[in-house]
Amino acid sequence: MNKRRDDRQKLDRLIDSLSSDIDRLSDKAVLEEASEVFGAIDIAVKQTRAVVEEALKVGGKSRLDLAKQDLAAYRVKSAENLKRLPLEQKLELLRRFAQSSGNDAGITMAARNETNTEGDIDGLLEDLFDLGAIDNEGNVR
Amino acid sequence: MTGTLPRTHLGAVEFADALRALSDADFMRLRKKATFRALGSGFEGDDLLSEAIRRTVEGLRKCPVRVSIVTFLDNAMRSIADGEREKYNREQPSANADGDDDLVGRYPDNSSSPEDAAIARIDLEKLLNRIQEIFHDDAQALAIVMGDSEGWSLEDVREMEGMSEAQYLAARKRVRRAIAKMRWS
Repeated sequence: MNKRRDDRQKLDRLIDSLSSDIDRLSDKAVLEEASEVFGAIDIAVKQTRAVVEEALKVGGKSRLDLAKQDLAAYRVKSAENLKRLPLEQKLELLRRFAQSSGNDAGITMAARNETNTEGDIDGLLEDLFDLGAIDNEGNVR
Repeated sequence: MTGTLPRTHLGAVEFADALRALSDADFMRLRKKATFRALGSGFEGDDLLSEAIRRTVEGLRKCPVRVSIVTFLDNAMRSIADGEREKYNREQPSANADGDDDLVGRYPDNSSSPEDAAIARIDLEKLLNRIQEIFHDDAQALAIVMGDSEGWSLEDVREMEGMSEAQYLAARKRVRRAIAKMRWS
């Protein structure tokens, strides 16, 4: 057997055995042993709680960052979906939205395509998506 | 069929709440376990515990509903530390055919990155030797270290040094204390 692999197995067995010991100790015995290694038990507990809180904070921030990245990617993909719709479908979507939202004057004008370029209409649809007024396929919510 | 499927794993918030609710004794169990689990991994105990918690909150590891937080984190630390040792095992060059041990700890590209520096610290053979040296004047404790490393039965270890149960338990305590206190870098 590879010497290093053999050493790893020996260390694994030793550590598993030591860790199992800790499971079998009473609460009182654990606190006594911990104080022998880490010092005053109230301070040792406080230090460990601080380590835990910091790890929860860092993990939570990282999780939030990942969620933001996912959301940003979803928004980009959704905006692309809306841009790929034919112009007539985009205008129909705005007309339907204008009707369902009480004939908002700005949207009605945009729907009539009287003043806007297709880029303006894409921007308007993107705003409506961000507001949650339409979904990423252009359905009015 | 109606109703929802039973949950199999804790969510991040539930995990955090359950962790914060642990008793002082369980916090010390985690800290002691982390100290042992970190041996030869390149991590300090607190950093290993922190890493296990961080990965769980990020969703990279999932805590089963039916497993205690202490057991789950112990297993997570075991897995993370083992991964670090495996990385070392893959990256460490083998000694040459003449058994030139000077090669141990050297790298083909002579890289000196922080990661390589951490890996270079993890020489498991030296670590095992160092642990045994701690008990060079305590035959009962040494028998326990060697017996645990080799997977001997409790009876065999006790018989080796003719230990009573009380002597065996006291020697195990000495082993735990000394290994938890040792510094390895």
